[in-house]
Amino acid sequence: MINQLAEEYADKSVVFLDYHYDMALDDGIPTYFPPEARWNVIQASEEGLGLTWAVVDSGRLHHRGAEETSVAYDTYTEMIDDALALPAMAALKASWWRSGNSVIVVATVTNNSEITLSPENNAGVHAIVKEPYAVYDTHTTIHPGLNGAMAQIPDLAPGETGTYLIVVPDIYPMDWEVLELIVLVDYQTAPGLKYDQLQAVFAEPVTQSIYLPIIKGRP
Amino acid sequence: MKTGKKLIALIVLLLLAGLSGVAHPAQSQESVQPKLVVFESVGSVE
Repeated sequence: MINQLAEEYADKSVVFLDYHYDMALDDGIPTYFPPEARWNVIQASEEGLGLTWAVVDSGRLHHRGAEETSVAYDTYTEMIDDALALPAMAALKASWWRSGNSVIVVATVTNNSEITLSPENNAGVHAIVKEPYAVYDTHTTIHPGLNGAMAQIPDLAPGETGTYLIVVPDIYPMDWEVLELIVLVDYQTAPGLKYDQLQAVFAEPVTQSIYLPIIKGRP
Repeated sequence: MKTGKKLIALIVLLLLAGLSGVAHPAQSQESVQPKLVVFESVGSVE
């Protein structure tokens, strides 16, 4: 059903990410291993467990436990349309390159919101690796998110720009050439409450070698 | 004469405005960067 939704929204600015969820176990109990940083964000939308689980805007809107296709379709469509109608509250640029079985991402964020992004509101820049159209037993759609990681934002006041480095480890795709890197910036609206997302982009792959300076710190 | 001075002052102001980025196209483009909506799911119904 989500595959169908992705086709219907193909001409819109929407990306679908599906995390690890495996039914193929002897005991019949599914396992789920979303990237930890994303699972923490998703869980903030509602405590407990109720797969299936879907969020937009980092959980500003969510739905869990859909068992009927029509319910899921109507609800998810409504969530996506609502999110599309809102403006981005940050400008975001990002680049990525492969380093062994890791991905390195450099992202620059301009905070256009009225909120200071900091550890106090768990603000972060997330990078998520997607292998579009790959079919895995461990994922229920052809939009698998393979892994993700987050860089905490130390302090970014409204109007300020900051650059962040994110390393996403343990990437073992079928095909490195087709990978997509989705980078997003979000924060928690209040302690114990939902997150909200300011903006997301597809990071651009870097095709030329990058040599980072070696900075020696004092012992 | 007064009109000439006003014209020169206006041109100087316009030049200064341009240099200081009052109407900087790159900045206005950044502020209207289209939003990318991220739909994330764990499990799904058929």
